[in-house]
Amino acid sequence: MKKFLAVALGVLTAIGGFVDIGDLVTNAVVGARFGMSLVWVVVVGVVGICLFAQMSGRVAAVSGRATFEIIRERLGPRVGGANLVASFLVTVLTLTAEIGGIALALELASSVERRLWIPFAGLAVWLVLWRVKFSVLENAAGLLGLALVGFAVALFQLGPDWGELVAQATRPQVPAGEPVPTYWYYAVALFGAAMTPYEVFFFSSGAREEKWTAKDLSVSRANVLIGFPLGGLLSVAIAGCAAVVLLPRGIDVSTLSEITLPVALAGGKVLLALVILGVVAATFGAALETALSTGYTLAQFFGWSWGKYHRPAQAARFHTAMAVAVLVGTLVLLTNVDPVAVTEYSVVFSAVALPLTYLPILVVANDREYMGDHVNGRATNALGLVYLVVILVASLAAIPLMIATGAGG
Amino acid sequence: MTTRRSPGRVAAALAATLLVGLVGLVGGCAYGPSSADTSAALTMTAALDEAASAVEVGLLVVELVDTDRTTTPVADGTLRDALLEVGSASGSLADALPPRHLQDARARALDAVADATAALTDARAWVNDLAGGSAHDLTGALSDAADAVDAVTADLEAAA
Repeated sequence: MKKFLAVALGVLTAIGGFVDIGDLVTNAVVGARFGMSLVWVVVVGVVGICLFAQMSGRVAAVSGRATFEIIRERLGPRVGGANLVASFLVTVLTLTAEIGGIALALELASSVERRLWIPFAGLAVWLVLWRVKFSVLENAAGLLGLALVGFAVALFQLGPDWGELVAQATRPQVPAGEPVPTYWYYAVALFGAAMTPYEVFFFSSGAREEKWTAKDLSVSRANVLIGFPLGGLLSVAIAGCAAVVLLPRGIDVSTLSEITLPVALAGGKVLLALVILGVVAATFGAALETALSTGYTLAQFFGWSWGKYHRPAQAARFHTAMAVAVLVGTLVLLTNVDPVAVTEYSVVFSAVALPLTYLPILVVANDREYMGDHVNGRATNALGLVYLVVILVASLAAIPLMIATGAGG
Repeated sequence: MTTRRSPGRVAAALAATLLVGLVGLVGGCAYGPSSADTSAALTMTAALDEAASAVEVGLLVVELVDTDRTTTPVADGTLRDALLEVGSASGSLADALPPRHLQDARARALDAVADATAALTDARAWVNDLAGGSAHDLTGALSDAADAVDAVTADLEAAA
């Protein structure tokens, strides 16, 4: 019974914690422009994140060390450093987008301008990081993030032509009037949003925070293999709402307020309030995860004491790194940069950084010295290699597509 | 036998590549009048698309408020975002420097976007209970603005 509850809690928080500002914005933008014709990318991304998250969780549980520590030790400072720089910069950019997302959601709920909410959001993130236990912050944000199920409810209430939506998803084609490079630009952005690097660092370091061992592998696997795909369905529901309501009206999504229009149309004020609560929780939870990931990656590379299970005074550099990352993100947003634009750039640069994040994980997960009998099986390695090719192609294509399409404009 | 290139050759090759790239870029920018016409028409069409999207947002918000399906803060915030979009569209149209035969289209585009701005401003005042009128009147004004924007867009697409 205890194990079942652990699995249930893990799955629920995985669903609620799956969607962040990158998923929200990118899926809505894509749904409003391309209908369901890019759902296949969400499927590819979800399978990929499941593959590498369970791999990094297994590395942490079996070796008793976080993935990044082993990458630094196993592959040396040069490869580890490249991994660190790429992942760290993208994670700080993602953190900035998440803090901006909190402010946008609070602006929507209150009509108070977002720039007034930004310092409050940054301060709240830092306070929670400093004072709240890891298990509490992870579970509370994940469970409240479940409110985003409101998008799925809205999609059903809108009563769409399901046959048409399924046809768009299963026989994808570039809609008339949309240039082919723009379609592929958003495919790369969606892929980057689903496979954001911070997720694997957070997952493996979280496994150490919760002191997982090889005995916990089945729970970890269930969290990933059930929770993430169900979280992916939320992403599809967001795209579906935009495809049903915004696409026929010719509304291009460029703000968070536009993303919530289909929800209000379908479910009225109650569903709208639920979804806004979900957006606040999802972005707040993701801000915590990204901020923790900045601390994890730096501390694990430089060999500092790290982890929420230490008191802040015992892991001072870890906590300082997180505080500085939150401060940087907050200050960047106070320059009046558009948080939605930051989000769009963050998912594309995530795609650029993917090979540097995922290749080392695949290498470490095959090292018997650390993994013993728990090294990757043949099927996992085969799939991992296929994904490395996909990741490499997406990474190489991201910047040229961004330039060629004017960032999807 | 070594096949390593000397640093001088590598530098020369890089410089040549850069030069070819720059010539291509500059040449592309100064391609000629027909290219400039198309570019100006596309810039204006993109701005009008942005305005059309904002007007559709306004129509949807008025419908949601009229049927009591959204809250005042959310409706107000959404209309404020829509007003920023028409403001951006107006700025892009004013900034464009179309050729002589597209000047009239640009003037009509600016008028259409100004009408859209006025309709959205009225809608925001109505949502905040700062103005009278009915949802029907606002929907009419927004629909007229949408039609005007669509008409100029069609003309520009034909010209491009």
